[in-house]
Amino acid sequence: MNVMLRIVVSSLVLLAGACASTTPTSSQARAAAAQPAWRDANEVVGGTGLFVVRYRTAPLTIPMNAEFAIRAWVFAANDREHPLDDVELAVDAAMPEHKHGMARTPRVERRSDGSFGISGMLFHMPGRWELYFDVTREALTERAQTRVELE
Amino acid sequence: MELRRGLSIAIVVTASAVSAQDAEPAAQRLSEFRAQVDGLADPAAAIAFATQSPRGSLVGWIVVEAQGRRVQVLDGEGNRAKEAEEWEYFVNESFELVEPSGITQTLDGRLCVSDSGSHCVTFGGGLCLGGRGTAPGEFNTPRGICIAGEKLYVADSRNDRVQVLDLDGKPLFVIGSRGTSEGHFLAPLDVAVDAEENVYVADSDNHRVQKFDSHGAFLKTWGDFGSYPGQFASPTSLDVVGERVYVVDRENHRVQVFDREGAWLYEMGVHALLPREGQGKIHYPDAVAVSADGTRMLVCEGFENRAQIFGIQPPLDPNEPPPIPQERNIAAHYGPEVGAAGNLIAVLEPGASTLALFRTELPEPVQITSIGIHGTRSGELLRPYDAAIDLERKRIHVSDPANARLSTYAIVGDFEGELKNDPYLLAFARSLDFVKLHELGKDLGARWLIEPEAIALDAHGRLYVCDPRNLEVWIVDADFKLVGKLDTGTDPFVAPAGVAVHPDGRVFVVDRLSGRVRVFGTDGRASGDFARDGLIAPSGLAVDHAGRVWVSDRATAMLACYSAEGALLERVGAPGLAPDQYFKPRGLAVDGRGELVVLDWGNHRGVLRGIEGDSAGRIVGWFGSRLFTRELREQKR
Repeated sequence: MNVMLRIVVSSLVLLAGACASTTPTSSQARAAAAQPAWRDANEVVGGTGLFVVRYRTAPLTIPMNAEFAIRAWVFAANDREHPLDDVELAVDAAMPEHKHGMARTPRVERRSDGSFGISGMLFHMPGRWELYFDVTREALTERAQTRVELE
Repeated sequence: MELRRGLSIAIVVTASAVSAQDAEPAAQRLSEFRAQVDGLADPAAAIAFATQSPRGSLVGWIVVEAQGRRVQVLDGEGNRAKEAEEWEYFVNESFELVEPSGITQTLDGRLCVSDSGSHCVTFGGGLCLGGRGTAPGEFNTPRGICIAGEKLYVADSRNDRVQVLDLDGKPLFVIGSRGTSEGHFLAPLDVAVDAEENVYVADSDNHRVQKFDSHGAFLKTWGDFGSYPGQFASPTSLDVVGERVYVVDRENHRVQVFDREGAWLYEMGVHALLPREGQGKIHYPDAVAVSADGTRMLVCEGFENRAQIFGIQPPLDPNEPPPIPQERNIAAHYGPEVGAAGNLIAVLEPGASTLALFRTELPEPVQITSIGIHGTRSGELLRPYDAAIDLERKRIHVSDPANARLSTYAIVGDFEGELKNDPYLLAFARSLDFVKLHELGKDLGARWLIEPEAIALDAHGRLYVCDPRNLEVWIVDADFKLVGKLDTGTDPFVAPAGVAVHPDGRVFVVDRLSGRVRVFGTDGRASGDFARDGLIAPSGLAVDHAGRVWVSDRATAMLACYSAEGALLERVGAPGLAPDQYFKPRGLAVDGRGELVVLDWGNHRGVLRGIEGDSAGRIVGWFGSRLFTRELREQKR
């Protein structure tokens, strides 16, 4: 199925290097190892500017009507070098124009490297989706959201 | 006290104590309209009684009026029982009710009333069981009550539990606590007991009925939010007679009937088609009482200040299919509060759990977006109550008492350019969860979970949050940190219902049950009050650009305008649909043009009233259902 992902949010950073498929040399591998894991990730800022979420989908191109996964990191907006370990993350998606969400509930688990692994995502139809990252610290939850056009 | 006094009738049996035998044949439906009782002052609950007369056994009703602060006795056809007037007088003198909301009686005929205003349950004679608190035997806003045998069951709504006491008020055991899982409650509003002492609870904000055994052990639950048969939108009351459970499904404008295992049997009630229409049409029913023999049902409609009596529908033609349940549309009812700023009006649709945003450039404000869906997750709403627009930060705050949450929606689209509907104009941005704050012990020592209802914004982006559970007004700063509360000194709030901020920084709070407006200085301390005795059921509050204070009064359908110092400047409005008429007005706000936005709750509409300059006293805009705005539209022509 010929499905294409278009990300149309200005805050999102998708580096071209993410698509490189050549075999790295050892020096490149060392350099890569020195890079943080979120190096190529998309970035989206929370609705009131408290948190920043960086994320990467797997596969990079979100498939239609097939499961995909997300790896995400959460940062304080004023410190984008150190992922926060005192926050909770919930992930969801919806199609506001259709007034429905996903037909399933994704699972979120915290990993020891400071990232969150999200599995069970599925966009079951083409159109405009909104991807929601809800970051909770104590009693405050802030949403970072981005738009996904699935064709 | 016994109803025998002055009535010359004998209590035969209460509805809740009837034997388990099925009083109704399987096909029997209590849906034939018999009578309408108008002129009740917010009837909140009722019980049926049977009297002996020369004509045999007759059904009658005892109704409690929350706003009227009294009980009334009606005969079976809804007429005032003249022979009961002396008894009524005696009872009302003896009970001294503040806001009665539930009624029951003992087998020997003693009347018992719950009073959500004084947080107690009373048998009259100055004896008050309970008082406001969390300990066993104490209550916070007790609502429906029921006596079975020697046990008194109380829907202790703002403690999110049902308490079981003996008839002397000694606590026996507690059922449930706050939550959404089985056996837990969100705002339990009524309780009933069957002949086997199984307990049924109207778990209102969870939109379900729960059943427990006589020891309080969970048995089963049924229902969920929705409008299909078997679903509920705010079940507020129930009664059990024989094998049947009658449940008031308030925002679906119907009564649903189940067997004792929760199997759906039938529903009755058709939403009013015309304003104030009754005669069998039901509008926001609050309570139900069924006679012990299962032949009569009384439905209280506090919203309409009336009750209706139904009897057994004549048997259906067996060759005809049974009635098809009416399609329900639970959206498009606005309120209770409203927010406005600049060219925007923010309105809640509690039945649909959404926030709707209007622009005011045209005489009839145009809805440009809506957001929200029913639920408990972030961005979702359970019972949206009030909205405050922060144009400077492009945010709209929404209070949701059922989720115990403040939510903020960011304005991310254009709200000043081309007039159009934009489903992406608003995006959920953040929320403050008072449940978590309470669990963390960071709610500044609040005794109860904070329940945010009316809210107002000051020039610094701070929110003032009315909390009817703690009887406080909390202050939340622009970063959504709970930073304090208004200091009432030695004169606590009775029921803070509306709040507004004066341009000079003073805060005004309307205290519903004490009928006055409280004033707080910029230091947050009480500095005075006004309007004592001038308001019956004050609700909404707004301060206009000139610093005048506007208060809506549900009881009189009037708006009162005071100077900031408390001098009454004018009273406007009257009950009705015509221009400058209202029905149970609630929320007030002032938009950027200085017009007063009135959430005319009982008329399902919003009204923009000019209050300064050339437009003063004129209705300059409106929004809402066509039927309820027709007369305004015709005036404009």
